[in-house]
Amino acid sequence: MTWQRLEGGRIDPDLTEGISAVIADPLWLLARQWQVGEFRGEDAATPVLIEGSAVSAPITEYWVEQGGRRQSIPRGDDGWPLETLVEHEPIADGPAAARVTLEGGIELLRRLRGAGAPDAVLNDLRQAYAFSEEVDDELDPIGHARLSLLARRGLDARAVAAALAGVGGDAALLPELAGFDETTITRLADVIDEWYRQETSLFCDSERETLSAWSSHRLEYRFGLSPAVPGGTIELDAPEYPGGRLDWYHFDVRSAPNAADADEAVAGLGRKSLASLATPLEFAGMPASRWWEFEDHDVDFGDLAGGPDDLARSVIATYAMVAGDDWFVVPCTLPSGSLAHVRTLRVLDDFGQWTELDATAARDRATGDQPCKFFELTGDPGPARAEAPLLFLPPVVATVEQSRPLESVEFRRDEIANLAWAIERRVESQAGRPVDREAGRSTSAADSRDAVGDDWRYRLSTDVPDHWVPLVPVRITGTSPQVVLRRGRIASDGDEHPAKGRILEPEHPFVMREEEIPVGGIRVSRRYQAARGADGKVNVWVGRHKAPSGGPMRRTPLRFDSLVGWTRRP
Amino acid sequence: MASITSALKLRLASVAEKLADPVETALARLRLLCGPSFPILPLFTPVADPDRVTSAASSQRRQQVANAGHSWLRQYGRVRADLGATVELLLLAESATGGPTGAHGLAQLPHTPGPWAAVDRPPDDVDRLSIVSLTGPGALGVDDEPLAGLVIDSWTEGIPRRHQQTGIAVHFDAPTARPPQTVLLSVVDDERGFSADDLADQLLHTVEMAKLRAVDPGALGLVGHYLPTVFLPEDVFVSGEAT
Repeated sequence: MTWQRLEGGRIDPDLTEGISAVIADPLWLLARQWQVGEFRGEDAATPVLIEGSAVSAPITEYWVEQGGRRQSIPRGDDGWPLETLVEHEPIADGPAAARVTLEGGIELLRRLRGAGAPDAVLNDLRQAYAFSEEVDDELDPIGHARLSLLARRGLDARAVAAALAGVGGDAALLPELAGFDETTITRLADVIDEWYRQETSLFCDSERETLSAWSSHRLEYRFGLSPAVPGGTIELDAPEYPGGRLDWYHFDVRSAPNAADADEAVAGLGRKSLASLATPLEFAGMPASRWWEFEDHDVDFGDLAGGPDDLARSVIATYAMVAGDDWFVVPCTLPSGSLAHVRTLRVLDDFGQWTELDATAARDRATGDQPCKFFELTGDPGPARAEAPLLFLPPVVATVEQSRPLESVEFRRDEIANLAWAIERRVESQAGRPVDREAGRSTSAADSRDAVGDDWRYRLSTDVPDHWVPLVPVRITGTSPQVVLRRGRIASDGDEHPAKGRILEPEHPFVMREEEIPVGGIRVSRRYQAARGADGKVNVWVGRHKAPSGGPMRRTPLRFDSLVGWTRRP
Repeated sequence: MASITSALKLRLASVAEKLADPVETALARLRLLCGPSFPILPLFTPVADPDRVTSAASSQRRQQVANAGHSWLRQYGRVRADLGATVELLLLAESATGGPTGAHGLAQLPHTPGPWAAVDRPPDDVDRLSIVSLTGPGALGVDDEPLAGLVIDSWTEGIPRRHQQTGIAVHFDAPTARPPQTVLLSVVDDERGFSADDLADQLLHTVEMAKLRAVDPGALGLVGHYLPTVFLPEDVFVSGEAT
């Protein structure tokens, strides 16, 4: 006779039941906790209270180095956001100066009319400050027509501003207001003052032109900030800011004062003492610290896609899983636009014992280990002096509105012609409109030559479109193997300069570093941007942005020794 | 087949419903006549909102939009394409006709007196909604009356905080022991009463039981050949032949 035996099995190679944590009788709940080590006694204490102190140094100076010369301006609390400060360039004196001044004129007339100004005043103003500048850049016929319309009915806001400056800023003294009664003059003068105030703050383009942070050699911004700390200032250098959004990682510590008396008084230095209950640190996708606990749906270990050689990822994931619940967090509110670091930190545990904690970076340095760094400023001297690393909170914008590019230049390598090209795709016209140079290109003489019904034609060299500006490699010195790219011109261009925008700087020689143009090319654009400052004011400025372009060049426009219209005969 | 018929019926019903609506019918005809992109603004009745009406009527808002509204439109006209086209149109119309193009209206919700959040920092952290009307405050102050209008542009913006919340992460090797997920009800002998030793015994016994609860035949080693001693005749699982 054979028998069957009934066995209870708890090990299933499928794992599904085990992972899904199916509950059963109370003993089973305890058994699982015992299995995963939740009943193991440890020689440890639970932290209860965390105390500490931090200092935050305000940014006191903004500086730019151009050609070895350093210029700086002091920076207060409520200035423009940092992006505005770094990127802004002339608008009222920019390519569309005519448009801005005419628009301002219409605005003045509108305000005066709204305040009930007599027609005589409006007419006098129109005559006295008529817009007389010749405007025609041949790029933009539509814009030109609009400017003429504005000029016919409007006036020149710059001329009004100059006249205001001439009478010491007192609008009541303008000759056009003379002859009216006192109340009318006061009322209109107030309108003009208010107009002037708003007109000058319409755009962020004040006369800080000398502080331009743009480097045309590298096609990016370079600037620095100096927060004041005890013993001097720390110099934060942003060597390669391509435009767009700024954040702490654009900055490196270039120099810092030697360790000084940390208690020295420095204007604006914020000292903060921290005290907080020990709150467990949580992060998105953090596994629950107990076995019997509903886990967030974000926890997905299967989603940790990483190959066997992806060591950093597995180390982080393992650490987060194993030691994630040994981390606690102390909140610390710091002013925007400050450089902060933690001075002291100590923890009280439930046995009543205080433990002083050092920064991990400083401890690693002291023990000679390879320091573990994630979010540290490059060049931070703190850890070497057993201090906590610095935390930089740049005073940046929260959201930015951007226009379509006013100007866009593509830089591409042309290995066949041994050149680089700067292709001016768009430029800003005097009417402030972006003009597509590709579309506006007239059919050149060469194209009409091709139209002749001949069989074929020999061409010594092809014609290059006007807006393709060649950048020629030249040696830095006669014998140096290193080359730079200098703006050149195609022989047949004639007198007029092919570059019409601001990025290629037609007014002086343009030289740029050869290594700044990668194989895929880059695109530099200028565009209007608007963002709110911390004071809530609207800041509108024109800034540049460097971004990768569409990939390597497929076809060069410049070819030599070619046959046009040649068809292979059978 | 049945599903296709029912889908067609549904579609027909929706078309019929639309055609039954005189506004939709009129719109469809006008579009046929003038092309699909021809702007037609049917009348609608705005949802009654006393906050909007009071805000649009408040003298503070009128003052603010009269003073800064046009400059603000010019500023954002530079970055927002649709708004830019409208501002350009207004500017050209103004210089072509030589006359003003009308005042603007402003309503800000929730309605509380204070700065216009589009140009100044509000005193608190409450989100604000600003509605600017290019054709004067009239339309914004209307409740329960039919209106026609065109939404030109809308966007969201943020004002950076003066202070930022940061945190210091502290590593402290805390114990990983966790409370048991079971309530142990201890029952004592009436005569002997409670004693610490009894409690400890019960506790240890429970832990021992819990450990045993997880035991698997594989963990029993050689004994696993005999335990558990639940033996059944072979034919017990053969259905229908139970004897």
